[in-house]
Amino acid sequence: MNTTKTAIKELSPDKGTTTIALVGNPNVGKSVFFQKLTGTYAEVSNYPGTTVDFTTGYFDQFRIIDTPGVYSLSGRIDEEKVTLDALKSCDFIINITDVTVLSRDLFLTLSLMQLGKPMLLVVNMMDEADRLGIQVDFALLRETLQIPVYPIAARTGRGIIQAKYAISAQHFQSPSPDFNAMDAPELRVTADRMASKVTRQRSMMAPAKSVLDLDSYFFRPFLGLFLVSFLMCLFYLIIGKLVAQHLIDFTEGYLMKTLYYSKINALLGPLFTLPALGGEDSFLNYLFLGEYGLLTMVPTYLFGLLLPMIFCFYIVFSFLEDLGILPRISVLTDRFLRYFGLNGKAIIPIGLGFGCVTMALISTRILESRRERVIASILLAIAVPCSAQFVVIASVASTLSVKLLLFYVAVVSLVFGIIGVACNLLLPGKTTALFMVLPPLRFPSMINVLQKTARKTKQFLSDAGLLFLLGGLLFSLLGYYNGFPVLYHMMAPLTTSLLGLPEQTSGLFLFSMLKRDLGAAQLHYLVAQGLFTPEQTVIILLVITFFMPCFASLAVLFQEQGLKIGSFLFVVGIVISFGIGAMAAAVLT
Amino acid sequence: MKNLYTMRESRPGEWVRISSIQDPSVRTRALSLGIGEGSQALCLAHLPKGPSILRFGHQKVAFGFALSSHILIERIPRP
Repeated sequence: MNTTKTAIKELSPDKGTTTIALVGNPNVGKSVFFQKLTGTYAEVSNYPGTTVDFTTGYFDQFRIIDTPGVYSLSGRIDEEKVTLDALKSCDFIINITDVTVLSRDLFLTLSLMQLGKPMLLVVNMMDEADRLGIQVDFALLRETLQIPVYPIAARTGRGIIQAKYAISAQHFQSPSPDFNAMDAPELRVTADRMASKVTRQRSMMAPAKSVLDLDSYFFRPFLGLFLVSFLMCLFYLIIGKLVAQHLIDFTEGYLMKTLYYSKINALLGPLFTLPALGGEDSFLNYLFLGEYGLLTMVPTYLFGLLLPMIFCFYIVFSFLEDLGILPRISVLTDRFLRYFGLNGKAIIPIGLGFGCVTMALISTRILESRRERVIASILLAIAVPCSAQFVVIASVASTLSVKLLLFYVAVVSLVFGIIGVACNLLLPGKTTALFMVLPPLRFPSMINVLQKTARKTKQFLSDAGLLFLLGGLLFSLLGYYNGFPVLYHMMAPLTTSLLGLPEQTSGLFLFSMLKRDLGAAQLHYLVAQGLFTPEQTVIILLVITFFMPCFASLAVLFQEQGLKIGSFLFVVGIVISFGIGAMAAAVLT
Repeated sequence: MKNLYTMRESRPGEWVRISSIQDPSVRTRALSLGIGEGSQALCLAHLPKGPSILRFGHQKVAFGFALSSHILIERIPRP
């Protein structure tokens, strides 16, 4: 995973490598341009703050750094600090701007020019400009700024060849010092004046129609919330019902358990059961082909169950993300999040948490104050399940009766609410007001959706693979050497007495500690076996929902929020998860 | 002296000009988003006790309740 520390280390240039920083306002298409330039995939989304770290790639003899989008260089917020670091060590600057909001973006251009490094300006979104009837006099813009200017449309590829040529020929120019003495208000006036001098609009102030003009519906209080709830339900139905049940029946039930099992058993069974190895009861046979076998359970969980789930989850999730839904939800929920000491912007990291809590914990950097970052991290670490868990929870929950499902949803919402309100009351400080640019609703590029999905699925496999193998090994050892009765006995006060669950559940908790996804897969398996009553299922779902974050999340939590908050959350998470389970057990049984 | 209102008091569909942003830190943030005193905008919506949404040129900007009640605007005819 690319974290700040490693990223900053990467920044110190190798000898002889020229470094170019790609800088621009949020959501102007820096990452798309980066991708076209270097061929390296950088995550692209339709909300400001997708890039919270550097991504590095190579073009010709240059090292290119994609930086988090910033509106200014004041160093006031984390993203600006990260970008300032990149700027200090780079040789050249490429400033990317969005032609449809040129006056806004020229403010940053002028601030960058004050740094005195050789730069060039790339004006993106020319396709949007055509659609909106915006015309720009680029010769005049070049003359005014006295740096090279290249118009492009990164999404369609227009102008990319010219920009690439300019970069490889090092057509960068040191900016004139004319603007160096200006302060922020003067820069603003200058940027506005420049933009209005070089821009012509076919019809003055034509309404900005996005491809899907849904905004007029989103920004009505009841209709907006209804639309968002509708989308959430649709998401849940697609993932929880369609994918998690029907598709999994095929991939897990047929492909893995029928086809693959018979093949692998026929192929390797005779080898592992050789009399020299111990015959039918050999440890090797149990380790590789047994109940928790490295060649049976591990690939079934990984490829038959979680892979198709996570793949489908990310397709739908990335589609909604790229559409620009998250910032709309920010606006609609701003009012409610204030009770948690957050503003609507916090929906972006919290929403991303349903994909991957680890990445979402890094995304909290887009929030303005440390207090808000801490609150969002607490909610993420304790109360937000990540994709694999979410999908299994959705699929298991959909088998419950409406009454129990409502009970589960009510408890989760209540706990989420109580944690949020408690954070707001206990942590000193004030909430900053929402102030954000809403990216236009855009119909997502399916190629980007697929690329993003492929990348995240690959990431999942590489993260989970080793730990799943470890889990398989641990459980095979326990199973072969009769360790389970000991484990069950040790955990009995927790599982049977406190939570009223069958003793086998202790295995599930052990799996979850190793990796939450592994616990989720085991839960799916145990539920399918009919081990739990519906009430017990709800209790387990609650414990799993609030269970401690995975190791990767913990590492990020320590790094971003410090050791004190990190370890506090770890302990509190465990207490809350089992505490809620115990309370639910008392109510339901 | 023109009549000044808070941003909150503008009506959806109405054109406004920003007259004063009093909080210095908000003013600096606004400047970097391309919004300053004198900027013209179209008011799109106010959510009850929630943010106000205004369109400046081609970008839509959401102002939280606390902000929109402290930014002063004047009403202007459609440009």
